Amino acid sequence: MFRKILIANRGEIALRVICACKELGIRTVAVYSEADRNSLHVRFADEAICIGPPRSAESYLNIPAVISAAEIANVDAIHPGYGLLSENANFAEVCETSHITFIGPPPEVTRLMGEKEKARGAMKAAGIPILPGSEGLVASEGAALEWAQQVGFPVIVKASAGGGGRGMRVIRSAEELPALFHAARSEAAAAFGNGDLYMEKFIERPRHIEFQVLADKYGRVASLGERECSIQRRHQKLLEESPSVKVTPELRRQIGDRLIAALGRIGYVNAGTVEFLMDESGSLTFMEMNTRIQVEHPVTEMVTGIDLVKSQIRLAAGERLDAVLNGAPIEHRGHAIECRINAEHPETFIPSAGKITVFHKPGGIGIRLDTAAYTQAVIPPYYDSLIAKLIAHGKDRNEAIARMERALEMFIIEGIYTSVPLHLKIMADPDFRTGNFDTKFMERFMARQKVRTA
Amino acid sequence: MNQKELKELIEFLIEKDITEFELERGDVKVRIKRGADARLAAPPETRFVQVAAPAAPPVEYAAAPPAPPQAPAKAEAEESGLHEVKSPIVGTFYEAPSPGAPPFVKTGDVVQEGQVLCIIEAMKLMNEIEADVSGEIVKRLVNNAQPVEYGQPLFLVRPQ
Repeated sequence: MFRKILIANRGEIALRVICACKELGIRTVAVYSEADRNSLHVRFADEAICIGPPRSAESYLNIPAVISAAEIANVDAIHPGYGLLSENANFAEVCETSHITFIGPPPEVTRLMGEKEKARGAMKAAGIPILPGSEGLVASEGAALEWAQQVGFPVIVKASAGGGGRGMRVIRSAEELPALFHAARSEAAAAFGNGDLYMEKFIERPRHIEFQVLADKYGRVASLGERECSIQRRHQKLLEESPSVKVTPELRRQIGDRLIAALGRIGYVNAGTVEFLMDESGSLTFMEMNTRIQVEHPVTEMVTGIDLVKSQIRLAAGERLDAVLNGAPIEHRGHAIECRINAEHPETFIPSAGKITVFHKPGGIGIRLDTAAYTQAVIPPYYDSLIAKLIAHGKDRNEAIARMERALEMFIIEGIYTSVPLHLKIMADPDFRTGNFDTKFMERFMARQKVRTA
Repeated sequence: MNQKELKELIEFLIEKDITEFELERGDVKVRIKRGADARLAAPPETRFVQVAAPAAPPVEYAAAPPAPPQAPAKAEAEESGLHEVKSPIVGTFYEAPSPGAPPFVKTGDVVQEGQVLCIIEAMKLMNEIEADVSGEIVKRLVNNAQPVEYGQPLFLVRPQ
């Protein structure tokens, strides 16, 4: 087992990793930028090293600074958290060369999953359903029509040379295909100097369902079930839960078995999350894989009772998967919901940096709070706005919602704006309560809010 | 090894200005690291020594004074108009270009802006650290082979 671990991150996840290390009797080394001098992860680590000025590029993302700190502190391993350097294959390689264990998958696996087309190819070869795509350019309107009819409408045509919504058209029927195809082509040519197009199946109202996996260094993989993350604003998750109301035990088992086989083939190691889109008929198709621990990992921890961060550390230290899972099959108990509490205005979403003057945390049965914020803490403007994760667990979804509402009402944060009021409104929303939503939920929700206040 | 022997060992290390020392003898393993600035160091509760005899109290990290290290140096610098040359990177401080060579500078030397004052080694690369002002070296704040962090004061210079 590792003697000492450096946490290459900040905020609540750095604290989370420190907690796991403390429980395992491992010494911790925190790195911090000048803006984070008074952070809790600095306070609670055994050692702390300042690695740069506030900007992430010059501190937390500065690989030489992080590795240099790891060397002078003489650590055995680095935990990269999420974001920052966690999916940087170069960083994982530098760790290897410096004889420091990187707590995560091998660099080549990170690289594979980081390249969208390669990841899709690898998953498809391993029997995981992927979103049908044209696998290359679509040369003509005729080819487009043929492909669309084979795959089924709606489809989306996209510019191969660029993105940002330009050269992109959703096509819902054969009648409208010719005009839209040509419109996309012209727009792409104008925007990128290249009118080449490819096509994909389009899902109108997708749900975002992701599966948590753990794997050891000996080829054994386990699936810990799914999380539903459809409540998103501009592709940023706001709220996550497990289980998903749309995933049956059979689907969970089926996807789980396929993932175990696929990731075993790929040689996956440590924790990871496989993201899917679920279409209106309930079928899952592979979107991408995140080769790290995720923000919303507590949701899975609450329903399975498995400490994912401790598992990561133990797996990286060479323990076998069944030892880490206590030799028991994975069980799901009850329902868990997580609300991401961001330092931003609950209606305008403008980031709100500054000093927290009051921080009264909720508690009680079924409530967990992962946070590095505290009274008198100054939330700096240099990093993302997540300041706390509020997780509620109950025997079923209704109890989880009731507990979350109660906890949100009793969570007092003053001095900065937060998304607490927004989450209370979401909890009260009828569509949310019935589980009747997709990734467009927030758009419709915000539109309803506007109407109400108009 | 009893507490008296350990105390003598530490005094010996200080007298000979040895920065890092490791010893394994039977059940006893001793590892001691000395440094002038405790900012990098663990808080006073840190244990580095495992002794076989349970009665022997743990030894503290030898050079870690509980007092905040920043305050005195900063106060001193501010009061007397001295300039702090700070480390721009994380790494290990070396006073000389190579082991056994004479140090780049010593107290009392007058240096020019841009003159190399020391080396900070990071990831096997030797980085020459240059003076950002011209003046007299009043004090060196770190020991040879000491780990330093970003922004850590290395020298006090009286600007000229």
